[in-house]
Parts: sequence; C-alpha cells; structure tokens
Amino acid sequence: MTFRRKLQLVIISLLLTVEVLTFVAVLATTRDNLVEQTEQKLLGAVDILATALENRHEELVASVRVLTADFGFKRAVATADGPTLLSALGNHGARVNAGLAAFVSASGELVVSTQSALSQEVLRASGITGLATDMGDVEPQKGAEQAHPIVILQDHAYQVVMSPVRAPQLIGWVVMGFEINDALAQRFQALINVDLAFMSLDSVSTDNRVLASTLGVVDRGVISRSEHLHLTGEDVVHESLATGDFMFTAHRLSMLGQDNFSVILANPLDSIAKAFAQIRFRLLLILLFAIALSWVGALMLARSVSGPLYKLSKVARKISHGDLHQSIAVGGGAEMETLARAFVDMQSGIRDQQAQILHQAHHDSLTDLPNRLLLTDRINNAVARAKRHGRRFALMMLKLDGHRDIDETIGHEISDQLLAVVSQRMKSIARISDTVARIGNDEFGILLEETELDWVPDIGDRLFRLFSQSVEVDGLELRVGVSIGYVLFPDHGDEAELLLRRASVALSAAIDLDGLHLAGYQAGTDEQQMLRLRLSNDLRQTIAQGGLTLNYQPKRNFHDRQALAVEALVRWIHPELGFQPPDEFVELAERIGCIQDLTSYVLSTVIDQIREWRSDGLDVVTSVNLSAHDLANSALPATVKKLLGEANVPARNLILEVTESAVIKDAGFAHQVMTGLRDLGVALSIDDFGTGHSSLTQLRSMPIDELKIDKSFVMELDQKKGDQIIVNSTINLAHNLGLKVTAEGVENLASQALLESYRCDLMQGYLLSRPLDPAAATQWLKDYQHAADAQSDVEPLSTIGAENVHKMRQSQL
Amino acid sequence: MTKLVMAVAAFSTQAVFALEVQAMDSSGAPLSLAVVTINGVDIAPVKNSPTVVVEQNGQQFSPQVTIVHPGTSVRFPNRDLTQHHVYSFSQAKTFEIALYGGEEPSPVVMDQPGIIAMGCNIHDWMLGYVYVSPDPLFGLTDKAGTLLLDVDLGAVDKVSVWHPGMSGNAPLEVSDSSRWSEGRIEITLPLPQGNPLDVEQDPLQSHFDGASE
Repeated sequence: MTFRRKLQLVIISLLLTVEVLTFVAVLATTRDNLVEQTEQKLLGAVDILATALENRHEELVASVRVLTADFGFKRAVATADGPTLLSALGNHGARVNAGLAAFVSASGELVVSTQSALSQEVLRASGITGLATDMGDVEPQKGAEQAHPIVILQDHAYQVVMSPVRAPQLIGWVVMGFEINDALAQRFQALINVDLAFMSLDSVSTDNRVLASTLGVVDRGVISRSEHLHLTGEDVVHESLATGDFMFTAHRLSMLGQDNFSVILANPLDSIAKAFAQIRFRLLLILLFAIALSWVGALMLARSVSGPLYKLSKVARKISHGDLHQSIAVGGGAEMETLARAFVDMQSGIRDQQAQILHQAHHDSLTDLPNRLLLTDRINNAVARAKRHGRRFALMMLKLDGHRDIDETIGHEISDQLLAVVSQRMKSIARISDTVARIGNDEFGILLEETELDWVPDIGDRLFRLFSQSVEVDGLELRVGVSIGYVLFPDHGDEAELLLRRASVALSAAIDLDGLHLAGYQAGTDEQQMLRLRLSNDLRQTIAQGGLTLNYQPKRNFHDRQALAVEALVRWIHPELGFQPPDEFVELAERIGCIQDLTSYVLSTVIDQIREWRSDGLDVVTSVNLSAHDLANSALPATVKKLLGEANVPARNLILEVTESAVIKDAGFAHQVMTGLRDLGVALSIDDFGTGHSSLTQLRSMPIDELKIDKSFVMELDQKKGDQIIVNSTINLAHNLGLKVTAEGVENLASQALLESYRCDLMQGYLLSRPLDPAAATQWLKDYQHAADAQSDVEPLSTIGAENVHKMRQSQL
Repeated sequence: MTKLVMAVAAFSTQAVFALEVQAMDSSGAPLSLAVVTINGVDIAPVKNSPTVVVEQNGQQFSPQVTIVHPGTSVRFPNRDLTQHHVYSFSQAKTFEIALYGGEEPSPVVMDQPGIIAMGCNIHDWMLGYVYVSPDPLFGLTDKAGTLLLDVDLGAVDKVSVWHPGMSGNAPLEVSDSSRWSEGRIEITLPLPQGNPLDVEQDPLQSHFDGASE
C-alpha cells in the first residue's frame, strides 16, 4: 500500500467516523427536538386556540353590538310582541351567522329563544343570566376569562355573547350563540396546524362527546373513550387513534360556572415521522455530500503530500539517468520546498562533480592539457569538419628525448615541472583552434586544424626552436630534445585511431632518424607494425596453448657413427599467415616478454622427447637454442633441473646453445647462469660462432663445451678458400681450448669431406637431413642407428643428392 | 350598585309645612337627579307651564330629567349643529322625531303618567327622561341628594322616589308617615354607587366625535 493510499485511508476513515457520528447525533437530537417541538407546538396551539377563541368572541361581541344598536331592532325589541321579537332575533341572528339567538329581559328572564332547547335553566347554568342580573346595566368586562361562555345544546357547542339592548335605557339582553362546529375546528386547524376536537366531558357518566373536530368519525369515537381527556397543565401524551398514533394534549376551556368543555389537540406522530424522515433524508444527502467532499479533500490532501514526493522521485530518477538540468517545482508546503531545494543543490553538486570528473577524464592532471581521449574526440570532430569543408589538417606526435634521463637522474618533481613548462610553451605557440594534448608520459599530440603539407616543416621548425631553448627549473638549466612524427588528413587516414597510430609510426621513424627528428608517415609502415602487433598477440596465445611444434635436425658425429645427436628447432605454423621464421618470432617473443614461456615450453617438450627416445632405445643428445634473455634468468638452471628430474633424463642428453652476442651482452650474469647450467651436467654450446664479436679471452673464460661454426662459413666451404682457413683454424682453436666443434649448414659431400679432414667433431645440414618432425626424426634416428650397426664405415645418407637438398631448402623457406 | 336615599324634612322654623327628602344610593352616597313625587289628598299641585322645553344641547338632553304633569307639551329644540333623531319606546309615550336640525319639531304632548325614556337614534349615549308624574307635587334632588318641599306634612300620603338608574322599574314608594313625621325622610335606592346617567359613549361614536371636533 502506498503512502498516499494510507494517508487517504486514514483521513477518509477519520472524516467518515466524524461524519457518521455527527449524523447519528444530529439525527437523535433532531428526533428529540422534533418531539419537543411538537410538544411545544401542541402547548402553543392551546394558547393560540384560546386567543383565537377570545378574538372570535370579541368579533362576535362587536357584530352583535352593532346588531343591537340597530334602531329597527331596538324598536322591534322595545315594542313588538313575542313572535315578532322571535322573528326579529332570527332575522338579525342570521345576519351575523348566529346559530342561536335569544332575548333576556333586563332582570335576567329568558323572553324568547330561537332554540327551544335553550331553557331558563340552561341559560342560568351557562351563567349568562346571572351575569346579567348581577351586572345590571353594565356589560361584562372585556378580556376576562369568564367572557367566553360556552353553551352546549343537544351536542352542539355555542360560543355565546350577549349585548345589552338600550331603547335608550337597558331593556334587556340579546344573547347570541355561535356554533363551534367542524368548520370552525378546521379553521383553527389551519391556524395551529394540529388536529383538534372540542368535547363535552361528563366525569360521572363518562359520556364524553366530540362536539366538533377535524378528526374522522372513527377517531372521534376512539377519542371520546380516551382516558387522557381530563389532562391538565402541560401534559402531552401519546394516544393511538384509528388513523394512527398521535401526540395528544387536552385543555379545559373555561365556561361560566362549568368545566365540562374541553379541547383536545392531537398532532399525528405520522407527521413527525414524515418530518423526521425528510430531515433524515436531507441529512443523509448532506452526509453523502460531506463524504464525497471529504473524499475529494482527502485525495487532494494526500496528493498534495504524495504529489511532490512523486515528482521528487521522478526528478531523482532523472538525475540518476543523468538529467542534471531540471527545474524542480513541487509545491506542497515549506517542507517539500526544502526537500526540493536539497534536490536542486544535489543536482548542481552532482553537475559540478560530473564536470570536474569529465574534465579530469579528458585532461592530464599534471599539465592540464587534453589527454588522449579528448584528443581523439577532437580529431574526430576535425575529421568531420575537414570533410565538410574539403580541407586538410595535420596531426603531430611528439616524444621528448632525454626526458627519461632527467626523470631518472634528477627526479620526478623536476621532470614534472619541466613537462609543465614545455606544455605551456607548446600551447603558447599553438593556435586557439589547435589542440595540444599529452598522450603519454613524455608524448604529446598536436592537432593542427586546416594545415597543408607544405606548412609542416615550418611548424616543425618552430617546435624544434622552442625545444632548443633551455628550461630553468629549481635553478637547473634543462634542455630536452624532441622527435616529431606527423600525419595529414585525409592523406594518411580518415579516422582518429588510424591517424593516431600512423602518427605514432611516423614518430618511431622520426626517432630513428639522424639529424632532424621529423618524419611524416610513409605508406606501408603502419601495416608492418600492425602485423607485428598481430603476431605478438597470436604468439603469446600459441605459446600458452602449446601450439608450437618442434622439429629435429640430425647431426652426424665424425668420430662415432653410432652417436646420435639432433638440434631441436622450434616451428610456428600460423593458421592464416603460414610459416613464421624462427628468428623473427623468437625476437618477437623476446620483445613482448614471453621468451621465458617459450623457452620453458621448448625445454619441456624436448626433454619429453628425449625421454621418449630413450625409452625407444635411442640415446639422443639434443641441442636446444636459448635466447639471450634466458641467460638473464637466474631461475633457468633450477627450471632445467626440475624438467630433467621429472622426465628422468640425464643431463648429458641435453645441450643448450647460446648465441655469441647473448653471452657478450651481460657477460657477468650470463656467466653465472651458464655455470649453473653446466653444474647440472648440461653441455653448453656457442651458436653461430663467428658472427659476433667475442674475444678469445671471453671465449676462454666461458663455461662452454662446444662451438657451432655459423653456416655462413660452411655452406660454400668447398668453394671458398677463406672459409676453409677460418673453419680449419677455428676448429683447431676450439680443440686447443678443449671444446668440441659442430659445423652447420653442410650441404655437399665436398664440404663434409673437408670438415672431416679438419677433424671437425659434428656436422649438420641438408646433406645429412633437413629438420624433421618428431615422428620422422625418430624414424631417421632408428634408420641411422641401424645403418651404423650394420656397416659402420658406410655413409648412411650419402644417397641424398644436392638436388634434393636444394628442394628441401626451398620448401623450408 | 347605587342606592338612592331621599330625605324629606320640615323646615327647621316651620316644621309642619316643610319636608326635606334625602336620596342615597346603596352605599349611602347622596343621589342627585332623583325624582321625588308626593301624593296626598289636599296637596296643591306644583306649578307646571303647559309647554316644557327639553333642549338637545352638546349632544345631551338638557335637562336630563324633566318632571311634568300629564298633558304637558314638551318641545325638543335642537341647539346643536348636528341633527338629532329623538325617540321613545316607553309605554307612557311612544314617539319619534325623525332627523331634524334647526327647525324646531312639533311639541310632544305627554298625556299619560309614566316614565318616558328618550334616546337619540344617531347618538346612542343621549339619554333623557320625561317623568310624567301622577302626583301633584314633585321635584329633583340637588347635588347633595336633597330636595326641600313646601308641604303640609299632615297631608302627605305617599312619597315616591325614582332615579334614572332604576331604568324602566317603577319608583320606590313610601307610605309610612312615621318616616317623614320629623319633616325629613331618607330614602335609599337599590342602586350601586355612581351616576347611571354617565353612560359611556359607544367607542365608534367616540371616534366620530373626536373626528368632528
């Protein structure tokens, strides 16, 4: 559940609770109020009714008085006989809608009445005549409660008023009665809005009668039997009538000397229920509206909280995607604003850091020059621009000469300062559109926009002049030289990587130049370098995967025909590029630093082969070529010992050949390693003897057992007198030093004969056999041994012709 | 309730030839305008001109109570600016003088003894009496409720007293001579206190009067 949902739920449920409680409370109060109101209404209706009756009385009095003041009426009353008087009363009574009219003498005697039921007793009982006699000529006082006498005649109630007749002195009273009937009840109902019933009560016989009412016949019957008719005061009770439940109050209407007239007021509970239902319905509407409103409010409130949070989370997401330029306006109050500001700060912080990182990523920290990455980028841009405008640009690559020496001899700090100064100088002579970048420790790249080939010498000249000026650092006058290689777009390439690589190639060429170290890229040089690079990679892999093979070229021992000896030659057949000359890939291995791996591989393979041969009964002395680098490896003797030990091969089966130059290079260390090897019992041989510059002194002091005369002296030995002298004297010299001699490159019988005559110890060459793969070599050795056993003085391979030798050489190349 | 007391007393100097009548209401207060009539064989009638005037003045009868012998003509001259409609439904004399103004209507002859109550049809409060006395001697009490009559006490048979407050009722008659032997008689009438002639005006009429002033 989300925070927003939760918030909404809490708010809505709170509001809902409050609203429902309010609803219930209001409803309860309303119901109570309604009942109370109805009670008040009933009680108020009593007062209204009394007042209405009083008002009616006064109206009636006024109308009757007008009647009695009429001269004709007076004359009739004063002079006429009984029947005439009666008809006059009837006539005048009809004028004011009186249901009862009578004349009472001044002394209180009933003279005539329109209703025979109105007897003297009834009249007396009503108190009217008493009033008349008591009061004499004086009218009843207005407002007095006794002023509304009511007479009940034959279940008809009459509100009675009387008015004196003066002609001109008081001659009697006119009594007029106005019926309280259903019509009046209905008029009152219209006034007080409750049902009412005028009743005559008879406490003794309980013969209560409804005289006039707004109620129906059945209800009148029910109400006449009600036990609440004698209620007094402000009692309100509930009464069930035929038409429903009523709230009910009874009020005694006073009569002169009587108290048997009462009015019942009844308010149907139904109407209360109706009103209540209506109020309840409205309240329900209000409740629903309030719920809807609070729902909306809660949604909005929740949104006002969660909205900004959602926005901020979106902002944060965008920031995480790298959009650091968002305007953050979330709204939702001070807290949210603070948070939003924090986001803005964070954004700008990240932006700054990113800019810094970006700068660092693209610039050299020492000189603050663009680095290789940025230079590459700039070159790409320059390529695009130059392409668009059909222009040229140049890329120079510079390498400081002598900087490394300063670094090593004087120190990093000084050399760094030197670099900084030189950088600034280079920058100062560059145009604003050019880029001077530091792309290596002491290597710089300069991108020269819109530059033609003709301009390069001049630019180079300025750079050389710049470097010819000395730099003073810490009181030291320093001077560094520079080599510059350059390329041009589009002549030497149309993409940054290619241009950079070729500039580097050009730089290499420039470094090697004598005199002015400025060189442009020469077509093709780059491809050789690429090839070397590829071979280096492939070689490393091939060594690691054991992809090199070993061939073995047999030797012949002039002194002992049965002695078996071979030279192991490593072979690399590249799957795509084919045969690779051993000289080249060995040198490559040396340069890329995997010569040890190569040597180890070769040694272990050869020693394994020796073991195999030995188990086949072939005791083969095998020579293995070592690199100069191997002699710098002090662990070599241990490695060899280990390999021999593991294969259980005696050390005398192994001869290690080293080149003359390798021995000379670091004579001291090499001597040590060689001694270590020789101590194992391994024989050491100087390979390619005669091509180096070793002195005889060195030769004498070296721990070696054999010399191998380079094939350049041997191949045409039969034809060159000079070679014969050199070979002969070398053999003699070696023998004198206690060394054996092996001649390489023997290709004809004449040369072989010469060597034998010189007492050369061993020979190898195509005359004897080309290098053979292990299986062929094994077979050859077996054949050779067999031949030697069979006829020890027959040349085993003399059948091999010079033509064949020549062919073999061809195929080998 | 008003009581009318009538005192009839002899002059202090010549007691035998004078009777003082003191009229009182039931509370003992003196009652003015009470009609006193004396009956006796040898009593000489009081002088009474053949024509008596009852004016309508200030919307009142003036005088309010007039005592006459039977056969007297009564004139009703109207002194007001308004018209009047004088009538009487009394049995002694029923008459009606319809609306009249400045021209004096014909006199009304009061030929029978009795109490004639007069009103004005258009001014209900106007109430006047013509008392047609069967007795030879008569008079009205003054403000003190007294009336002094020059009469031989020995000749007096009956003393009758009536007051307008008694309306159409017959006068109170006293025949006991011991009551006036001292030359003075006090008569209390069954009337409540207050002058019954001060009949209040009809509210409607009061309104009109106010408007006309």
